[in-house]
Amino acid sequence: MDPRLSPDPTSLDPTPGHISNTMDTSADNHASMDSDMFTDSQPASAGTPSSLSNVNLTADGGSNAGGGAEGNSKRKRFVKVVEVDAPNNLDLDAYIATYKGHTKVNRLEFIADRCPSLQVDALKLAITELRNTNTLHVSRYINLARKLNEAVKFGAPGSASVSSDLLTVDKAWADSQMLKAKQQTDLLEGELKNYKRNSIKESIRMGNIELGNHYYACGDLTSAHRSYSRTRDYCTTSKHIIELCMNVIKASIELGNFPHVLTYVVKAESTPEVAQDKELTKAKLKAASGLANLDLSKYPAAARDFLSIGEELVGNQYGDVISANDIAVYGGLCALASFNRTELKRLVIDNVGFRQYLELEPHIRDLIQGFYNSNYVLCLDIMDKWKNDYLLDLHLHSHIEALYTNIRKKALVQFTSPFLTVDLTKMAKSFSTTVPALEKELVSLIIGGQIEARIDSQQKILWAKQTNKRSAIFERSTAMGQDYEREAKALVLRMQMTNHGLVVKSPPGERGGPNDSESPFEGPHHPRGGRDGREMFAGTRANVSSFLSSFSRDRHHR
Amino acid sequence: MAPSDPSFDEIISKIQAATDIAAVTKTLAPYLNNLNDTVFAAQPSGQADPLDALDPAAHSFAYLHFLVHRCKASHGFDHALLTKVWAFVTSCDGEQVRLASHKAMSFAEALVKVATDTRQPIIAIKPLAIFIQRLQASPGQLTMIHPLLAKTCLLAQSVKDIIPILNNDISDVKPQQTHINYKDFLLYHYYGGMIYAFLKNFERAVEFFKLAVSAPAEVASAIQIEAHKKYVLTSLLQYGRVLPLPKYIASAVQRTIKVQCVAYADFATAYEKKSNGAIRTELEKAKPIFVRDKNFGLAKQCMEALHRRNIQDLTRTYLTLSIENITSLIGLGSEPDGARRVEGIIVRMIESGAVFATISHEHAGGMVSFLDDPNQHNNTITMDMINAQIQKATAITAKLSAMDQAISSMPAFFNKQGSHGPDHSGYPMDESEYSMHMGYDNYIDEGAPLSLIEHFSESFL
Repeated sequence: MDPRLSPDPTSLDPTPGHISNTMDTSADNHASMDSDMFTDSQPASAGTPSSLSNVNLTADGGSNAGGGAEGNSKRKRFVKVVEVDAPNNLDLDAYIATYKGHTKVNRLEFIADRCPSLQVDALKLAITELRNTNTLHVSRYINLARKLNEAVKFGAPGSASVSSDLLTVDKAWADSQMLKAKQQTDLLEGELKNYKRNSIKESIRMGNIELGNHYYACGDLTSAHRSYSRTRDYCTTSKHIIELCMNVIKASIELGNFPHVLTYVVKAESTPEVAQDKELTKAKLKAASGLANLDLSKYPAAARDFLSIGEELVGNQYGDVISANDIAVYGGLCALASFNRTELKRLVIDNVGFRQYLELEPHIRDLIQGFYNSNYVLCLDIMDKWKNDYLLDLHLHSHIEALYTNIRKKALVQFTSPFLTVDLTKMAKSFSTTVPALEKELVSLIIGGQIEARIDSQQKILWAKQTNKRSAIFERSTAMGQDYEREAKALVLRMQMTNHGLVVKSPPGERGGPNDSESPFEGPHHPRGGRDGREMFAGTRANVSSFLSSFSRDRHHR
Repeated sequence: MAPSDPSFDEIISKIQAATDIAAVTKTLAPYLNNLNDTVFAAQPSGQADPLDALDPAAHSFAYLHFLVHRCKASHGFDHALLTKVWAFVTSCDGEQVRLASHKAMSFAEALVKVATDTRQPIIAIKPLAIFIQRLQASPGQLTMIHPLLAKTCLLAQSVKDIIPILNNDISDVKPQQTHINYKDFLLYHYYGGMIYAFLKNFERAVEFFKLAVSAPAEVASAIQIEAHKKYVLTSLLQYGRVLPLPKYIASAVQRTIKVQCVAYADFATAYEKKSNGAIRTELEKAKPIFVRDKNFGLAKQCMEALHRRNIQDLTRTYLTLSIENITSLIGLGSEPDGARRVEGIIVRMIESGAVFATISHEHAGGMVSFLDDPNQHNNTITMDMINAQIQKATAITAKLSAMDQAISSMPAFFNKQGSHGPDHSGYPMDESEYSMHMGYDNYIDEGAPLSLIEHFSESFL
């Protein structure tokens, strides 16, 4: 609770009564938990800054029950939950080992929500992780345990191997963790207040960061974000600013507030760098901005960000946000979806730094090579095989369709570009699709102007279009001439009208409603002499001159 | 007849004495204006008709005075009056008539009134069309008769005689000469646009509506709003999208349009996306408004134009396509005799030159082969067209340059410039003004026509 926000004197000074009050609420909660594991009767005790404020036990079992990151995120897109039967290549243990911190649990939970065959395993891993790290985010633990119970109840694959100590909620541990969190919160808040009273800048900053870290650990991301942001006023060196940015970026990514991430990336990048960890910070910022651009569907920008990370993150140094494997996958797919052949060669294949990441994900490397060498069957095959895996990725899942469509379009364009005629049946075979479906894809590309060709739908042949440049120029210049004449005439006329006072005015005496007072079809003629429009001369002159000079210039350089 | 009134002979002799335009202005005009209307209205029996004594060419000013009352008094046309009207409009002296433009207006109104009363509006159209041509000081001048004639033509649905006048763009407005006001300008272009839309010449219709909408304004006129509504629909018909209005459109008009023409804007947005279903729902939604504004006919034509536009789009993507496929691609697949309708549309489009295609019935259902535009632009027609355009552009540029020069040499312009102080401090246009002068000077140096031709020829290389 922020002392600055609440003028209530009781909150400024945490009395024993205050604490016991909160304790009562948590005791109630536990009582209800004892009686039935599966009810969602727990009221969210709003207003307390402890981890309890995030308890949100909805019974839908959907993607949104996490209570933490996703519960608070402001997703613009409505993401359809895609159920994935089984990933083709995913090794859950190896995959998740590359992450640490919140994202590890977030990813596990994400996989559990989407993939029934991995549900139990993922939940087991997540719970173990929470227990092992002694998490303060108790609600999350309870939530996951409930999910695991549900999964076992419905007999999800792997249920048999679930040990009983994972199934039952360790109440004593949960209680103690909750109490710890609460005490820690009060302690840190008290300290911060103390620092503020003494107005020592650096201490206030540190106090805020510690409080933010604590909130972050408790899973109260909004409060964490707020605390981190507050250090802004107390930053004295560029190192502090970088720290502020990194903290805010971390919280914002988990909150799903990606525009915010971009703002802080820019802020951090424009800050003069401190010597230590310079390259690492830069790489992290690039990764964060890549994620943000990916989330905002700006694939070219995202690709450029991921490709410019360098070699700094190969060892999963940014594991609490993104793994090295992810960089390869995200970067590779975004690059394929947005770059042309030359760019692909220059920015991806010849990119030494990025090659390191590609080594981690050899199929992405094969995919890029295959695409570059126009081996589209291989490409589509790889893409198809790995699609399920990517659908289980926390950041990539909602973009997979768009990215795949873009890559496919690019492949189609590249395929047709060297030929004068293309047999649609053969082409359909190379893209493992049917002729009518291919025809539809081609039509959309032709209409979009990406392929210059026409389809002979009778003989199923694609003909490259022969545009007669000379004719096109004649047509264009004719149109231009007409435009010029028309615009010039309108200008002359308009100038005369202003000069002679032929301007629509509200009729005198009827100022009330200018639109209603005039009837378009009748009304007496008021012959009126031209008003002397001398004051308009300057304006008109400017009109003429600018028209004369700019028209030819505009058209000339078109 | 009041004793103070002079006799006919006196008047006639006065009139005949004023032989040149100066005399008419100085002596005759005040004299006639002071006379009582009854003098002109009376038709003396037994005496010689004063109109017979006058020459419509030499004494147009006086002749008009008599003729106005003759027309006002007339119920239904008699042959004698018609002859006189005809003689007057074919031979009158425009300069003299312009001196009495009120009278000329009343004359035209009286003529139209008589014509509509007798349900023969067509009788008034031809004389008025000729009258306008006599009245104009220059071929592109807008007179007060213009809107009246356009309205009459529209009501009579007889547009043959006004077309030459409409085709001649308005380039000259001089209220001092013709006593027009902004309403005349707006109405003329509004009616003109409707006439062109009636003739399905939508390109010109769009132009006319655009002129009405973009006329300088301090407040929006209802005519401009109505013109904008029709502008949207005709623009969709002709170009498939709403052409952007010129950027000098008055902000008051723009604001009012935004509020008043929501249904049109929605329809246009749906139309530009070319999806059949969305347009249909939008049309249904806007139907009451369109019907109220009497624009539903245009909107329905838009729907038909959509099919033509979609077919034209297909020519860019396909070389051959079966009629069946075309039908489903342009969204007529669900209709019972869609294929037959589509074939009809294509045949008409081929005839009008909108697409270049052949239809073969070798296969069941028919196969359409789209061809390229056979015009290779390597013939004299193109050459002539380009030459004509260069000449037009040169002429208009010369006119613009002349105007520019005229304005820049006016004392008022210099005063305006000077009032900002010699150092031009605080003159916001300073920078841009400077560059404008540069551009303008370039033109003068090179010689405007020459640079334009260069410009054209460069495009061909």
